[in-house]
Amino acid sequence: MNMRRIFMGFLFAALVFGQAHAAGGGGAIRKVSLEEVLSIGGLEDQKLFQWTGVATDGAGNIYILDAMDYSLKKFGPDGRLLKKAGRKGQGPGEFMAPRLLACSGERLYATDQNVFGIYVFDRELRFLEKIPCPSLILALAALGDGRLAVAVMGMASPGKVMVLDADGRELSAFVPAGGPGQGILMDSMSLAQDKDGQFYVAFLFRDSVEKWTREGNRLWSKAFLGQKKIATTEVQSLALPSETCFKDVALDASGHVFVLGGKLSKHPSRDVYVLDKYGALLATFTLPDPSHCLHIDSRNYLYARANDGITLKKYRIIYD
Amino acid sequence: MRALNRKIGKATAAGLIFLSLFLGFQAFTLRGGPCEEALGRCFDDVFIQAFASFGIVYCGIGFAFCKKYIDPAE
Repeated sequence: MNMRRIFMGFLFAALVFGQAHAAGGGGAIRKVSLEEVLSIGGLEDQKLFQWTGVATDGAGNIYILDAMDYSLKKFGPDGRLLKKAGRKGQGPGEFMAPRLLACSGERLYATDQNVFGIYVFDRELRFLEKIPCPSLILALAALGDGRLAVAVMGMASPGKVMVLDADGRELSAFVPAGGPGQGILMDSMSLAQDKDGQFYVAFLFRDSVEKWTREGNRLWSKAFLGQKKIATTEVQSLALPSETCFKDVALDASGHVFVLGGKLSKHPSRDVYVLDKYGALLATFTLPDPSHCLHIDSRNYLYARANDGITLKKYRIIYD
Repeated sequence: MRALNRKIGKATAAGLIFLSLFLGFQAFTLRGGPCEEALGRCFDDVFIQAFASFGIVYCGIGFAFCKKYIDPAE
C-alpha cells in the first residue's frame, strides 16, 4: 500500500514537473544545436535575391519578402516556390523596400521601410488592405485575432511599442526606454510576444534584452555583451551608434527566448542566446552563417539567413 | 561556370542597389562605413532638409535597417 502511494506520488510529481517545464520555458536546457532540414535559394537558381522578412503558417508553408525582387513569395514545406506577388511601386500590393513579415491565421502582414502602414495579404498572396500606422515601423509581431504589435521610431520622442487593432487603432502603447545609452536610434528594437501577452524587446544598439508587461511595466532587463557604452560615429554632427548589439528576438513553442547577437557578439550576427522567461541565460549556440533575423515556427523549426540573403535555411532545434 | 559567374555578379550588383535603396538614393560610395555614408547622403537631400524631424526618422530608419541587414564589418 505504502509503495503504491509512493509510486503514485512520484508519478504525480513527474507529471507536474513535466507540465511546468513544457508550459513555462523551464530551465532544464543545457545545450542547443541545429540540424539543417531545408535550404531555399542559392547562387545557381533564381528563387531568392536578397530576402528580408520570413513568416510561416500552420501548414508549414514559408513566406518570404524579397527586397531585390520587390516581392512576396510563398514556398511549400518542401521548399518549392508556389506563388509570387508584388512588384516595384507604391500602389496596392507593391513594394519599394520590403522589410518585415508576420503571419497570423489566414493573414500575412508586411511592411515597407518608408511606408506608414502595414500591408495585409491573404495566404494566397492576394493584397487585401493597408492598415495605417502613425510612424515608420522597426519591428512587427502578429498577436492573433487581428491585433498587431509594432515598434516604431519616434519623431521628437523615443520610439515605442504599440498594439494596434485590425483597423490600425492604437489599443495600448509603452515606451521601453530608460536603460543605458540614450540618444538617437538607441531605441531601435526587435520584439516578440509570449502566450501571456508579455513582450520581449531586444535593442539593436543597446546591450539590453528586456521583458515588459502589456501595460508597460518592465519585468527585467539583462545584458549579455558586457558593453556599458556603445561606440558612436559622428555623421553631420549627430553621434550615431556604430555597432550592433542584438538583431532579433524570437520565442519557441515552450516560451524560450532566442536572441540573435549583432556585431558585438563573439561570432557577429551568428551567436544566439537562449533565455528562460525570467531572463536567465540557458545556452548559446552559433548559426552557420550570419543572419539579420531569426524566425521560429510553431513546430520549433528555426529559420535564418545564409549567403548574404540569397539563401534561407530551415533548421530543426535540438535541445539537450 | 560562366552561368555561376553571372549569378555572382548579378547578386553583387543586386546587393549594391539594395544598399542604395535603403536610404533612397540612386548610388553611393564606400568612403567610410556604407551605412554611415548613405546616412550622410540622406541628410544632404534637399527634400529631407525641408522636413527636419521627419528627415531624421526617414534617414534613421534606413540606417537602422542597414546596420541590421548588411553591415559589412560583419
